[in-house]
Amino acid sequence: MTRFVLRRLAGAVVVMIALSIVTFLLFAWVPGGDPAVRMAGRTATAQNIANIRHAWGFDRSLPVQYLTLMKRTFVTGDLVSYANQTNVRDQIIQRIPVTLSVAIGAAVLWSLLGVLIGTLSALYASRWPDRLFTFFAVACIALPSFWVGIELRHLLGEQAGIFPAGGYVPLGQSVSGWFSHLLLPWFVLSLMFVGIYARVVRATVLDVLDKDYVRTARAKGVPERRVMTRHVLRSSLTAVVTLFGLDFAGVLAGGTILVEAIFDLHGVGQYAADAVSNLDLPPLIGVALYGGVTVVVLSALVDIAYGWLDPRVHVD
Amino acid sequence: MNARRPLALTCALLLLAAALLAGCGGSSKSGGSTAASTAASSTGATAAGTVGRDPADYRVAWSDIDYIDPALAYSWGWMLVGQGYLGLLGYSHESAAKSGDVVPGLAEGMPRISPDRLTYTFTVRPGLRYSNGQPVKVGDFKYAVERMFRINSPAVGFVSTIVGADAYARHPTGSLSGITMNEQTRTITFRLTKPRGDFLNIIALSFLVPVPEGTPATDQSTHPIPSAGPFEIQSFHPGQSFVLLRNKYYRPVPGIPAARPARVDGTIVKDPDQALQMAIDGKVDYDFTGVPTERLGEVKQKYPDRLKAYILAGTQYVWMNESIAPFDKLAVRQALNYAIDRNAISRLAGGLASPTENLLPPGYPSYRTISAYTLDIAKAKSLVRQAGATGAPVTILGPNDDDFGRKAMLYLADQLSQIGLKPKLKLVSSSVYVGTAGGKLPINAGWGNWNQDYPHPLDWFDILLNGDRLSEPSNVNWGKVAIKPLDEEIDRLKAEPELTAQVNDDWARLDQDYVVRYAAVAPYANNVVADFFGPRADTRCYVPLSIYRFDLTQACVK
Repeated sequence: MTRFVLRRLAGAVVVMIALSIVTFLLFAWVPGGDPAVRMAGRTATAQNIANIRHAWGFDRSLPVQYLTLMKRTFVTGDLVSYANQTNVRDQIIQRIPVTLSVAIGAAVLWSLLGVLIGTLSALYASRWPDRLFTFFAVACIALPSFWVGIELRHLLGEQAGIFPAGGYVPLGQSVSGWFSHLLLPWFVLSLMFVGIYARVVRATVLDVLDKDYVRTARAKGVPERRVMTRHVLRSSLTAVVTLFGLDFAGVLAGGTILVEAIFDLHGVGQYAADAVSNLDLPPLIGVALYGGVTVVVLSALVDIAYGWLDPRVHVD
Repeated sequence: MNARRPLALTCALLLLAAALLAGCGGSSKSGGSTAASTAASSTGATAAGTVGRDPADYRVAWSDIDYIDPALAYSWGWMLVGQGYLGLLGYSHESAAKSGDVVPGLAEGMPRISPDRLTYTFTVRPGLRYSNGQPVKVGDFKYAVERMFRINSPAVGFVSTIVGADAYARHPTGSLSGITMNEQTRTITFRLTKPRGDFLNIIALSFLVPVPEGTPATDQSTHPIPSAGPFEIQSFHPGQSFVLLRNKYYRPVPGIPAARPARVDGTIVKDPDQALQMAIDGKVDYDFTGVPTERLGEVKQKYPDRLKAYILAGTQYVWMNESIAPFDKLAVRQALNYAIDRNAISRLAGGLASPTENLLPPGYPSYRTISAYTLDIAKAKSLVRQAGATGAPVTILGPNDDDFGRKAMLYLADQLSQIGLKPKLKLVSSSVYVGTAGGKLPINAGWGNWNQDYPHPLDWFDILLNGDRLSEPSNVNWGKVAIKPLDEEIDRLKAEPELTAQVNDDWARLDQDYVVRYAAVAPYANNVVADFFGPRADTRCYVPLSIYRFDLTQACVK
């Protein structure tokens, strides 16, 4: 296990370096992306722009600029946005609870619903409930989630007033407010995943139901509930766990961007979206690194969970 | 397995979903009144101080703020800073029509201007205090200007004609030689390198408000600088919220009264739809973000008395690159002007644009309505043919994230193809638009959207069309317009210290020359802002300011 963790840590460092270099270079080469000109405003003189370039280090070579950014990110902790000079790390930390709230809630919803619908669909395979669930799952996958989000927010929030029309209430401020403001975002974010997971679980449950050990368990008189939970679902869920780990990592790393924009949730995703539209490099570096760490850590946890679910797998 | 159990589970699932949908938090709605609305372009505020109640707490939804440091705020934060802080001069809050007037603020009166128009001397009012009780010193005004250079303010260009500014920009240490002051006589003098007709407008901007000497030359947005104006900024949390308090040390001056709200609680809301809903539901009293186009009809119908619309001092226009064919020919530029129906383009904004042929916005004393062009495709085609430009390829640059701008350029492309040109539309993000328009790519025409910094024609013609400034790094004269007689006229008018009737006529003639005689630009619409208020707000005290939008200092409630 120690070797596993160390190997993963080393991998995380490599991933973060690669991510930061790619992000940096992409924005260094974007046309019209000179931050000094944008910061200097529309009455700038050449001296203003030169002063800003010097103050921010834009007149240095690209490798030096990159290393300065990394130093500010990891050593001095004073990496600030070009657009408004707010501290990037502080902004991300402040926004993580919002993104976590959205991601975890949606993940719980899509896991429960996906597994439930997939299992029911498998148990009623080829009968009308299966067809109904299949239609539902396909619809969930096919419908663009951003469109669904906009429509739901407009219809249920702005028109009908059943849900709040966007915004976020911190959990510490009001539990009911936090919950009510996140219900629609959870639903929208989980929609596509519910469909995918339902289909995957259906396929794996159907496959496992035919296995010898399931027939043996039934033949031995094991109660059906135990057959389902101990034998069928446990085996079926290995595929789901792998999927879940990567999906959750992706969502946490920035996959909430659309939902946060639609519902005006000031999370990491919206921070990234604002940074892209402002061509603001420091927040993008920060979000890219945050995303990289998230994916690496969560994929490591997935591997560990996989090992627990399937005794044949050794984590080392 | 018992087949009924999964079915029961399914039903339970559906019931749970229904319960969740029915039972969760909602927001209250309030109905609109039946009073008719007026999409007035100006609202007198002579009664503003006598109607409604002064609110103890006025709640606003605001767009995302860049900075709240007076030296740095130039976007939505500027709208707050401009209302809270005050300098030697300010802009009148008396009424919408007068909100472009420069009036004495912390100065005893308008400055003494030397006959050569190079020296401006102000006398500072005695006994001034900041919002923290600290006395305002004369030196603080000078320090604020010097700090602009040290902090790399985006407004440094406005003060670049002060003597010593160039040297100070290179080495921003010590004292800026062009500003001298005397604490005993409370006088401060600005010396300029050349006459500048808009200098008083610049002095009245929030960039030059006094700050206590020693204020660090770093962004102080999260540690708000004390104010000598109607509001103090108590707190600012980037991306989240801000709080303004009535400045108890502020002594009102004519045209700039004390703040009526004791406190303004601001929530930053990036999504205009959400902000609008907050105002509809009464969670905020004022929505600064503007009513989205697609909801304007609904709002007009349901809440007409809570909606106020006015024409901003901003113009959308088409610039045409005169350095390359085919718009190097006057006939083709004229053809473009005849090919567009300004009323039709304005309708694309869904009510948030007002058609125009002027570059200057209405409301300026130098505004004289231009009515030279009517849609005439046949004439436009003929002009293109005469110029030998039929079939000429034309690349048009437009924004892909400004809805009205994008639609306008799509319309333009369509019209240009009808008059015999071969348009190709290139839509880019706003974040790279300026770089692309001013870059090396051969763009023939494009979208322009200019909102004033201050109400003076120099802020338009000198920046957008002066050919003498083409080589400057911040040049936005993307059409590369360089008409010598008009450049000279701009330079001449630049030296005029006052907008007299004659000077206004001269500016109006310049507007006419650029748009009609030389067809250098094709203005098509002025931007319209739709302000929306919550049920508690009393819109009788609504005053839209020329620069800073709705006058928060005069906000009142029922």
